[in-house]
Amino acid sequence: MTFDGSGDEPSFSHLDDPTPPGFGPDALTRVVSRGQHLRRRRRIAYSASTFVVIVAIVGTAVGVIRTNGSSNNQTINTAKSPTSTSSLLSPTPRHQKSGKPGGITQTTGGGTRPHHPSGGGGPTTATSPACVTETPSGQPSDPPDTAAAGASTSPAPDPTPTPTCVTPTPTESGSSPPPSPSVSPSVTDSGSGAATP
Amino acid sequence: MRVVSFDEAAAVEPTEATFEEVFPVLTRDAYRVAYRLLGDRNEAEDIAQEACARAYSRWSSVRDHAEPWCVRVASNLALDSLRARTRAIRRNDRLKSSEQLRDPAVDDRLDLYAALAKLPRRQRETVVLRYLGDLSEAQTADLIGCSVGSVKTHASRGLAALREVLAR
Repeated sequence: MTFDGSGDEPSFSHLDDPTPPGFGPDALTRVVSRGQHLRRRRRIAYSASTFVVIVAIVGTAVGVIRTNGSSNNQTINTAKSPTSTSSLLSPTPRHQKSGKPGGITQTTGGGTRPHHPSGGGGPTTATSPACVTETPSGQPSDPPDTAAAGASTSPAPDPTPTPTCVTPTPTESGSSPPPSPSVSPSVTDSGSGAATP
Repeated sequence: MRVVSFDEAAAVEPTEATFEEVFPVLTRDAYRVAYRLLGDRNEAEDIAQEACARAYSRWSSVRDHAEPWCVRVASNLALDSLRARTRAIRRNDRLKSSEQLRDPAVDDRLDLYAALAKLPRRQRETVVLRYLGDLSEAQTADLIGCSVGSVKTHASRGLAALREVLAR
């Protein structure tokens, strides 16, 4: 097989149909209907692919949101336990967090509850770790803790440091009268602390 | 539906033309390149109509260069058909003795396809569009997406390789 022409302009005209057919109106009708069919099919495919992409994006977004939500919960949970343990181990961060003598504030929490045994913690309990260790759990102080704390810390001039944390706080309601003179300064403190939630 | 003549269709500006107005030109060009490659009237007609239908289905984006676009689609469809035909011939040796292969026109096409298949893709596209599709260098460059100089280079190299292959 060769192609005609020489040089840069060859010609394949010898391969042409000598009598090319004429495409009449019927051919145009067929072509148009076929073209409409192709267009419809392409639009369906485009719509389907768009729908799939949107579903994938929404699904991914929902998954990410759920993952973030669960991770946030986990963060809260994990943040709680170290705080409680650290407060048990070292009460100093608790005092820094509260911004005030932590012992007073936390013992006043007990002051709102008349049954709280450490509620009567006065200024002598400001440096008492027993009061600090009780508050994170939000539960009434345990007697062993308070006893140990009271025995361990007593910077106050009070000669009997143990009752400062162990004895119930005289609240504003005055349900329980102060049993000892050492409690008397704690009455004012606890009263001011009771105002704080 | 009114079908305009070739001369009327050629006089219409491509950007303003409707599909019905340029349909004769599109079918003529698509049929020519398909027949040159295939040598089969019916198959070339089918390919020309399929190329025009594809042009109609995306007329809004094709109307500016509908003619070279149709030529390219028709040439691709014809080359696909030739490839399938060659594969069938290789698969079934009985076809070698059939009347179809005794036809020199068909033999010419198969030789041409075999030679084209050995060319690099760019050279093959350029030769088919430029010489079998009778497109201008600018139209070929626009379709392929390269410069006119590159089209000239690919065309000359492709023709040289084609001559060498067909001379064997």
